Amino acid sequence: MGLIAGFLGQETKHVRAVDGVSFDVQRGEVFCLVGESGCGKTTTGKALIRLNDPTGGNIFFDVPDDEWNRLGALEARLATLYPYVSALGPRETRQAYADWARVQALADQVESTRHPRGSAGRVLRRERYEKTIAFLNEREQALQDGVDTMIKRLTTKERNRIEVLQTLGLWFKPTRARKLHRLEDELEEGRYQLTRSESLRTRTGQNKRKIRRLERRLAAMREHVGTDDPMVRSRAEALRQELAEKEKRLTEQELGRVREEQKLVRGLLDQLGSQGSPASEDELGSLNASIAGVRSQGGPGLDAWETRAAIDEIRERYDLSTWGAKGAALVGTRPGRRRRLRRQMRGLRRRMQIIYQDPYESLNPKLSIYDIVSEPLVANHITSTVGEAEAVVAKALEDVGLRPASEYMFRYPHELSGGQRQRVGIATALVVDPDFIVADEPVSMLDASVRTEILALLLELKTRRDLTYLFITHDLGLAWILADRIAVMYLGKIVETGDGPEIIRNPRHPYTKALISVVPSPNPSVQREKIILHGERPNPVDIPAGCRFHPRCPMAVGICGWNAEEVRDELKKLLNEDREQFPESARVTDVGMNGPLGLTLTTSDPGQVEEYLWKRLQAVALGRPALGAIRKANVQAGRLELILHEPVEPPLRQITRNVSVACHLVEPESVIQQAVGVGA
Amino acid sequence: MNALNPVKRVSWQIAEAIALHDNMSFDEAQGRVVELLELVGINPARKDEYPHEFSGGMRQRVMIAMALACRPKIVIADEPVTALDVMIQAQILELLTKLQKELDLSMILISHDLSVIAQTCDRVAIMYGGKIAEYGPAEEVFLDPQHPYTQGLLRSFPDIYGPRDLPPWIPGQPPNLLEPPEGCRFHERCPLAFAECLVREPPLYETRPGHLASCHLRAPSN
Repeated sequence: MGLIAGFLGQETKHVRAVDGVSFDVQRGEVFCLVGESGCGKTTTGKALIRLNDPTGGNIFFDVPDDEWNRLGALEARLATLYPYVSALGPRETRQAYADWARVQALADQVESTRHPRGSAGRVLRRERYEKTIAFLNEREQALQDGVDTMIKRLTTKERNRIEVLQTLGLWFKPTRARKLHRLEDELEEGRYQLTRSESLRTRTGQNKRKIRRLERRLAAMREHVGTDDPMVRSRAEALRQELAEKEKRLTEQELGRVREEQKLVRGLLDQLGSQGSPASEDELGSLNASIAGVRSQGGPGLDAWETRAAIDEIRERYDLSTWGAKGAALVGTRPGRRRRLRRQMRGLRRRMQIIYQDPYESLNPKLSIYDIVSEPLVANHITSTVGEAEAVVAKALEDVGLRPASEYMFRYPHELSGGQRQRVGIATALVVDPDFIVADEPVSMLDASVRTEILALLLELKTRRDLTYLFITHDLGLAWILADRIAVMYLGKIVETGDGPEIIRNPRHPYTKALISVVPSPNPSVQREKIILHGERPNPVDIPAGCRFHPRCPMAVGICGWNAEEVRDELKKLLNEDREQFPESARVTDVGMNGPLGLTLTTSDPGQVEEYLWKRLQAVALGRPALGAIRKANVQAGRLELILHEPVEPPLRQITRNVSVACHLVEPESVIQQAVGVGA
Repeated sequence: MNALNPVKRVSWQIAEAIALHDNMSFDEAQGRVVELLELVGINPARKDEYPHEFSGGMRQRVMIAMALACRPKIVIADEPVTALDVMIQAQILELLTKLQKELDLSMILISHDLSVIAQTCDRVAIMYGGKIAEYGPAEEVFLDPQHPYTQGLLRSFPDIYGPRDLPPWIPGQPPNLLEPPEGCRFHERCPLAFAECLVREPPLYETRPGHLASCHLRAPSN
């Protein structure tokens, strides 16, 4: 890369195409990510299941509700503490840390007093012993009833031999039986090949000859099959006796071992109980009192340390993305972490799957449907034998409506229609029995009539298999039907998120409003007013300051983050239009930029120009929001200095109980005034 | 999307048609190229760029400019917005309707997206299995569809202003045109099919002046 970049005289630039995106998806929910192409929907979806490496941030998976709520509460608490903590000087910070360490030490002491000698370890051991005993008891019962699975496994060979004998007769040894089965399989495959070659009109004769040969061999083998023979009966009887004896012998052996183990574990458990005794209430009480003492003196610094420690502890338990301190270290850059992450991900791959957008490109044309769908099974070591894999694949195919599965299993992708291909894509995701599915525009490449069918299938599978979807789409019509909750993204940021139907019925962010207004309706008599955004989305390499939507926003105002260049262009246009009304003495001869937030107007009479400007700006403020960015004017000899509002990115703010919006227009006035320095 | 030649400049590709048909050189055609690019809303300063430097919406605009290069009377727009985002889709449709009015064009819009057609077309022909199933003024066809296929198709569209349910769909697959079904081509998937549909192909019956439907149910009762 470096070499090529050197040749071309270019530098590599890392683009944060998606930044600061945060949302939670609840179990059994459909969460829609909506936005134009290039807004980072797919990148987000893939990063979640770690098909893309995120450069920072946290991904939590499978967090129990109470832990999640606790995390939220702790984070909210930390946020309220933050102003106090940031006001602490270095000495107070050191003190707070020392206090925190003392509380930690005391808490450890309480723990070890409560469980003397080995503390928590003893509790765990006790639990383990109790579980072991319960398991051994169960096993004993199973052995006595003759239903123990381990014994059954040890006698599989004998069982199989009896079965073979009973179905195929004396002549057949297991090896021959296998051969027979193989021939039968070959025959079936040959017949399939024949029907194929007949439809293609090639090599029919060859296939027919092959089938005849196989049939002859099979017939010859079957001649020897006879189960009615008295020899067979007596032989089977003998085998059965052998089996019963072996089972009896093994059971007795196993029972002896189980009983011995029970005795051993019981002994261990008794020992554990007889050692040591819990600490007295007094000891605990005094320790707890000293903890409370340190806490009461500690103040917000200590509180913040404790809260952060608790947050870190929860995060450490569920986070899939980074163990880097405060997001500073990149994901998995340290070799040990990377390995640990990969191990962890392997287990999770089963539980998180993706359905791709384009069924014409996401299926390997060289593999049969069976190969495609069984690949995840093999990769995740879910099935070990071909027969098992076949059964699982067949079930997955029937689940997605490709019935009968045998009809489709050995076809190739090009032999299927678009809808059927997408069903194969869905089957591939479902075959490992996941909990969470990222559906990346699963129906955007399909025809209208097939689309609803696939959606119905996805919803049916959701209820039947208790799935959770992250549904990525640019079609708000789909989001309307499917989404429990929605996040609308623009240029790598969430601009509006919350309850799906509410957002679509009552959008608050100008971008969402525009997106909803352009969804075409199949009713020609309804002509709604469309808000068509002009221009293209900006390049993520060069994201506009302030609100990143402001250059295209139809409702933008002065504080949305206009820079000097944008204001200068608008101002020049205005001055040009008003040229006639200016007296010769006060003509503006030049508009120059003075840094990103300043403009310099060269004129002979700055006072008059200032007066004119303020009057004029009020009149045109609505149509030309960029001019609203002018905050202050300083009159100087020969020129007029204009100062613009500081660009402030609107944060995602909760507006109602279940909707959050990132737009200056929904912010309380005081916040805006503070942020952009109005009246300062 | 992929209809532009990736190794030729945009200006060359637009000028090609003008040079071939209007007996001009490529250089002489440049003036018209600038005019066309302005017409479709692209900054003419970018005319000498390559297609990969343009976004999807802009490429579609270039395609429109190419189609208009020789001042046609009729334009066939084959799925002009299918691969585009909703916002770009709205931009392109706005542009097409605007051009159609300004240049007094006739336009055949081919699309599988009924909502696009509902918002732009005057008259519609619904096709199924290689035949016209229904034909008529757009408003009439959408508000009072006469053919069961049109009815099913319209019902299967999610309407953002309608109820929040999964719409019904038409079960089954489109027919294999190597061996089209006997009788009405839609009878295998038609919920209203009866005996006659299996044997006789329905002609286009006129249900209202200018509104035709190819369905036995619409046969004028004697």
